[in-house]
Amino acid sequence: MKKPIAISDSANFYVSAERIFDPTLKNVPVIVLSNNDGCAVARSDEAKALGIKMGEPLHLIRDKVAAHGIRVFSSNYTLYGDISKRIVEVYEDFTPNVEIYSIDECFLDFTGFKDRTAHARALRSEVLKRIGVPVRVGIASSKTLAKCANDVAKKNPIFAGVLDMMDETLADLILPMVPVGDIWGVGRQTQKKLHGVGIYTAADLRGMPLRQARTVGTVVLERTVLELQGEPCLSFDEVEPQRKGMAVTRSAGTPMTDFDTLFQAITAHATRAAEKLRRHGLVAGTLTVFYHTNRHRQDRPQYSGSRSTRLMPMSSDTFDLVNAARRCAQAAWPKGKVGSFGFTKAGVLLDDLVRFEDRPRTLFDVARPKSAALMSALDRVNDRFGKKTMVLASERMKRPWQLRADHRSPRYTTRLSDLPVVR
Amino acid sequence: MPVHRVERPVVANGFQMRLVTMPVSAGFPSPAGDDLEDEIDPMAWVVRHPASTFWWRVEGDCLWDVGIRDGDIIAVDRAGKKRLGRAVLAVVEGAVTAKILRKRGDQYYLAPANSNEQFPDIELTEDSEIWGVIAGVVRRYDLA
Repeated sequence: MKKPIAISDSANFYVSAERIFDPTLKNVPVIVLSNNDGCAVARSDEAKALGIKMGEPLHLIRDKVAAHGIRVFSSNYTLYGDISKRIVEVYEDFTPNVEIYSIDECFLDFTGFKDRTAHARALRSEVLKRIGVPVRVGIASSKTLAKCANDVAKKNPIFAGVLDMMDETLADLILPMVPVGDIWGVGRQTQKKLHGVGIYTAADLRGMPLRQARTVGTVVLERTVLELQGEPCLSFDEVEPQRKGMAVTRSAGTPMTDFDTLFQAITAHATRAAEKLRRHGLVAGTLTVFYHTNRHRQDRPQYSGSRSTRLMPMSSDTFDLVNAARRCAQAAWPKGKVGSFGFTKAGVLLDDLVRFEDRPRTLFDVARPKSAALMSALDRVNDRFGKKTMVLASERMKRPWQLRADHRSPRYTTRLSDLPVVR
Repeated sequence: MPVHRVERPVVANGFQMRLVTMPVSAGFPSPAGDDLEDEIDPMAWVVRHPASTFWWRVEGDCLWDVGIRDGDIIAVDRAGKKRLGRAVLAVVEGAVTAKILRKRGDQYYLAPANSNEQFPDIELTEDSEIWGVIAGVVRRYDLA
């Protein structure tokens, strides 16, 4: 007996989230920009119809934006995260088993529900009613097939947002119409290779001999073929592997030219990384700092610097990480023509992460009994009174390097000062 | 029966449960044990459905008679039942408004609740939408 897996997601999720609180966005073209207001990462159907492409840089579409009155938003991840969390809460009323795949996609275990289509319709209308975001549901016996069903449901209004492909005759009908490049896990390169051997549709790929699949595109493609045959290879609730490394990097709103400004940004990133470590109960063994100029501005002097250092002993202490980051940043700082470089990106990478309990002890461990208490006090203050209530002085209070987000909507759901207003 | 020390907060339905800090003796039950109660949480009393409740700030006094004033913060529940006589948030011609849902004959309309000032009734058309039902109101007064 095959287990039904559903995937529910929202088309243009960021746009839908913006529309909850601003009814003037209904039926008009809307785009949401990536971090630092670079390019379009979400487009309403109306914006798609105007030919705005995914990932198109804002500066290339300014004319279109002005001519058609396209509404432009910076990404408001605080809002999207809150809405996403609320949607998951609704899903939890419909299945005991929810696996969050991304901010707008969840796999749902639909085992045991008799009329799956009716169940999915009910879920869809509840999310729309309670949160105000339209979602589509695809159901099948493997994750890849469910993704495919979800895609089809999204593109064809006849399905009214729900497609159950557990029925094999229905799958036989639909798969020949799905281009192989639309299948989850089939990238552009693989698609090219598949076309080369005469495989154009999802149905073709489903019928591909496994051995051939492995030679054309490694085990990953072989697994995709099995998944298309309804043989689940990606289990439900696949355990997240233990984190080996983490990164905190940001682009700067205005280029940073002096060391102090750059180091403010790096302090902030190292601070954030230390907080993340402590939240996961980890310590890091290696820290890397990097920064570079804007590579797309070849007319400007280019420089990129990066240094790594061991953390001895391994640590999650903000002061340790910031000190290590300072040494790295200084070591990588360009000699000579100082001030002529405009750094637009800086980041801190941590590697060699282990759980605090498993950290190796060194002979020369300095006993710092107060460090843990200080860090937990710091975290508690920032949890309670808001992020960045207490920061290291080297981060400063003014943050000229901070991201550009000129068109961000209010944090409607998470800030008292940003609540939507009804008159 | 073995007794285990509870070292982390107990979570039920997403809420942290308060633990009784008093040690439990196996002998005579403490006469005070029955009097321990949860901390008062008026927000939980107002917010019946956390996922579907959103907070809005009110500007204007068109719902004065039902106790909603300029500057108040209201909880709006999208899962609330849209019954006649209830205060609702509605989207009319692209604007959001807070009014009382009423019906005259076959026609639904949005009515103000303020006997001191004149606000017009608004007819609900096919394009209007009830955004949610007002679940409660929070107000604070100056202390200084």
